[in-house]
Amino acid sequence: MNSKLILSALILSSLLFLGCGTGNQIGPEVDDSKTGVKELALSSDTFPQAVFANSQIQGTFTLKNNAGYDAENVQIKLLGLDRNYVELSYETESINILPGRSLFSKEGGEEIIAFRGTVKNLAKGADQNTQRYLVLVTYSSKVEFSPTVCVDSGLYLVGSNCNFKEIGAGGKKRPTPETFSGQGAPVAFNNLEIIPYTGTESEIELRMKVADRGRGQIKLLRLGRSALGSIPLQCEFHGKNVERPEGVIFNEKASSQEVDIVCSGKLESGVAYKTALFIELFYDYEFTESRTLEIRR
Amino acid sequence: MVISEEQRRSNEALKERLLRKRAFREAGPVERPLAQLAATERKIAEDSSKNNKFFSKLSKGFSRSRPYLGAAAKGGAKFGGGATKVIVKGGMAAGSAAGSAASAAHEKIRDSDPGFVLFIAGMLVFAFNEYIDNYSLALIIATFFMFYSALTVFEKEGIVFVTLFFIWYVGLGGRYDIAFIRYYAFPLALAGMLVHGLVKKFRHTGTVAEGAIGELKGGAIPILLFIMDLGLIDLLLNYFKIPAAIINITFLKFVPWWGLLGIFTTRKDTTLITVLRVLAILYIISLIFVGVAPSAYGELKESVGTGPEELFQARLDAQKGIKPENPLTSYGTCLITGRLAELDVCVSEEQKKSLAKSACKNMGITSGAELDQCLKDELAKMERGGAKGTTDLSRKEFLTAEFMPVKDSFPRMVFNEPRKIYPATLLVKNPLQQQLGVEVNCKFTRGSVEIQGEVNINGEKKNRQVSSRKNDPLNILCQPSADLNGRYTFEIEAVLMDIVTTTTLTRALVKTQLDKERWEGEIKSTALAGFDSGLSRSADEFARLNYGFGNFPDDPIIIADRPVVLSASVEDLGKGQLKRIKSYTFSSFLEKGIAPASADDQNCLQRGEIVIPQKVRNYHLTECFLELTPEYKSFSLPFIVETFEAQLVYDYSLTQKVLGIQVEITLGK
Repeated sequence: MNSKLILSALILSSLLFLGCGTGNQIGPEVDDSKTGVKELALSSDTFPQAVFANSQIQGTFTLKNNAGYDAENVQIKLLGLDRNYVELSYETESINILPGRSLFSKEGGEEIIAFRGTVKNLAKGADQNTQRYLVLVTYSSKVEFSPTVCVDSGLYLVGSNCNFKEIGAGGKKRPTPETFSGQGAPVAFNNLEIIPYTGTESEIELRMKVADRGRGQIKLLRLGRSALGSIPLQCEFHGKNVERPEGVIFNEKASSQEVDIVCSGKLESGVAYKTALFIELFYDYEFTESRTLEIRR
Repeated sequence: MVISEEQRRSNEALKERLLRKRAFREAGPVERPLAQLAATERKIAEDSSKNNKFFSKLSKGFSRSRPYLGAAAKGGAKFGGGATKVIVKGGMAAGSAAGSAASAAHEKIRDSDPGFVLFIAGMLVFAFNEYIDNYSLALIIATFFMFYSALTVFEKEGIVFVTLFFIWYVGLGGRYDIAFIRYYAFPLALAGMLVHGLVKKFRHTGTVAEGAIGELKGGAIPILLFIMDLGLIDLLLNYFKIPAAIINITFLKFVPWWGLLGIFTTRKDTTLITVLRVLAILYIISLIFVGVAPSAYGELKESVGTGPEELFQARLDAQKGIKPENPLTSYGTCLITGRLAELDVCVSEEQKKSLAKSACKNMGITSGAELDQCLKDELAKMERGGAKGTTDLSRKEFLTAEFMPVKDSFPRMVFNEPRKIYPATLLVKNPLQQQLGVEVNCKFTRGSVEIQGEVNINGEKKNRQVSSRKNDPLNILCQPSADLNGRYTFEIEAVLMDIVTTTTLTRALVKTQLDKERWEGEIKSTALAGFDSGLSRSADEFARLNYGFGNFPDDPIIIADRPVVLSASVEDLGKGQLKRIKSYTFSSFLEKGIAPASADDQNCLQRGEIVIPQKVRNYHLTECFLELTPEYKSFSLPFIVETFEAQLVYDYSLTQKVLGIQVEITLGK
């Protein structure tokens, strides 16, 4: 009797426990907003593709933030419309903050931007004119790189607390860089290499490669906070575009934009241990999309 | 007179020898001697039987006719005695002699060297080319060469083709519109090939296919040389639409085409011939590599005509107009002056000098200090070059005007009407309804004699009309002011006045060099997409203002913080002649406050009347630095795009000539 009662209670409580879940989800919600390559995008627009000469023009663009971080100082500009044929009231529209995706905002922020203007007359005898122009979006945002890493000063043999494959002191192999698939932004930390210094003091150097993985271009990179556990790190930029160690400005259009970040700091312990690395990187970014506008008589 | 058996055998032996000789020559290199020999013998036998058939028929004909002629002789003797007998017998003798003479002549032609004859004649004509200023004579010469080469050099292989071509070119006016080609040209060409193929088949001298292809091959070369001799440039420019910049007019003008055909088809195989062939090849190569045509005035464009006469006249006009000397003459001058180390530069300079001299002569300046200054100015203009422009295809509505082609009913031959009235029609289409004036003049010329005509437009005795209607055909009548008697050229000129043609130019402006590097790709794939997007554009009217404006005139992306230069020229695009430039205005620059940077260049953006040299295609107009306003130097966007407009106001002359008007006055009317 008692066993039957216990069994029934177990079954009932299991059913209740399973039934209380949302849909098929088991366990806490997973926030994937800060993984992969995600960025701002123009999701839709009502800006016309054809207009008549001597008429008014107006339309909207919808901008959505799919990245895992807020975008600030967002500007949308229409470039390349011939001022002899199209005169816009404002060529630039701005948004202060466009929230990014998060646990509480799965879709990310979305804003509708409107442009309006006047279409002038065509050249004498012309029956149409096709304008090719660009929608330019510029914004500032950040990306955080916070993997859990295993660090070792190299003074002790491997094996005590971390699961290193190839790390050690005295001429043993260097650790191979670990690759990453993005942190929910167009600017991504691609790989991380941990270089332990062997010596009397426990020091470590972390080398990271940061690159543009989005469909636009990085204009500026600037380092924010950086720490290894509770220990602050000193980080600098290195690479061919680097003129100052604390920030990088990209002026030229390059087929690939990549830069190195080298951070150094002291270890908490001489023994290998796991800890959180945190690098905060601010960037200015821009991307363009092309459009056409046909002016008819 | 009967051909004796011995003589007949002797003739046949001679024929066979000649046939053998020709067959071996045609057989080519002897790679399989026995097979070649067998083929040769077969050919000899075939040709022999063909000729024997012809001549045996001829002889049989005479033999058969002998009894009748004899009877006629007898009858004649009965009625008229000896005289008739002599006449008839003489006729028989003449006929037989003609037969053998024809046979001998046939052998003589075959035995002669038509290639060498063509070479000599072709070179002589080329040497005296400058003096052939009569269309009929040039046509006769070209026609003779074409038929001669088809009949002799190519042994009648393409004679049907050549005949059909001649009928089309001269008889039908050389129409090359698509409808004509679709409905007439192809079927006729196929018919010609088929005819030849069938002839070859029935004569058992080859298959239908061999005959058809032989017709094509044998006819194509004489036809091609005929066209090149008379008017290929126009055909290439206006039908095949090959840009004038690509056609090397020097090459086409200075090659003796018939002479070349002769030297390469002559049967003579002497050292002299070999040397002449080598020299011919070297001459052509020299023309290709050495010949330059200075581009300051653009390529000389032949005026378009619908028939060979107009083409020839246009060629004459071009010859009389501005042209450089033969590039090999320039080459010779450079060799003589010892400029061996820089031949390419020297030849180019000599060509430009000759072109400048020709331009000054055209303006009537032939000697003295005036000529020196003119040469200096023209050379300076050549160094600068004319600005380039292109047609704006989006402008579908624009002004057009042309004379209607002369109808069949045009009175080319008139009897006893010395003051006959001659008609012409000028079709004017003015869809933009701009205010347009038309002034008409006509005249009759014969040599140095020139008789003016009195003009009647649309039934009113006047020679000027102003209109802004969309469709405005002018029915013109011209009556000579004095009696005509003889052969004249009728020439009517219509000057369209105050034509306004607008030219637009699109430019992108950036603030700095870095911005240009950053955005150049995007600009060239959007606002300035297209290979000619940086050129000024206008409607396809008679003339246009070409201009460039920027850090370099041709660079469509302007860095606003650098100096900006404007360069402009006027280009004559039409079939007639740009008569007078009334004014030009860069209206957009003036409206937006963009002004010349220097006070000395105040006329740069607008100017009144300008006289330009005759028949110059691209005439440099103005050049100056401009000062951009703040609006164009500081802007919030990475780049801005704007189109600027300019207007050209001008008079344009169209001419129609009708050659060979004949007025006969018969006595005792």
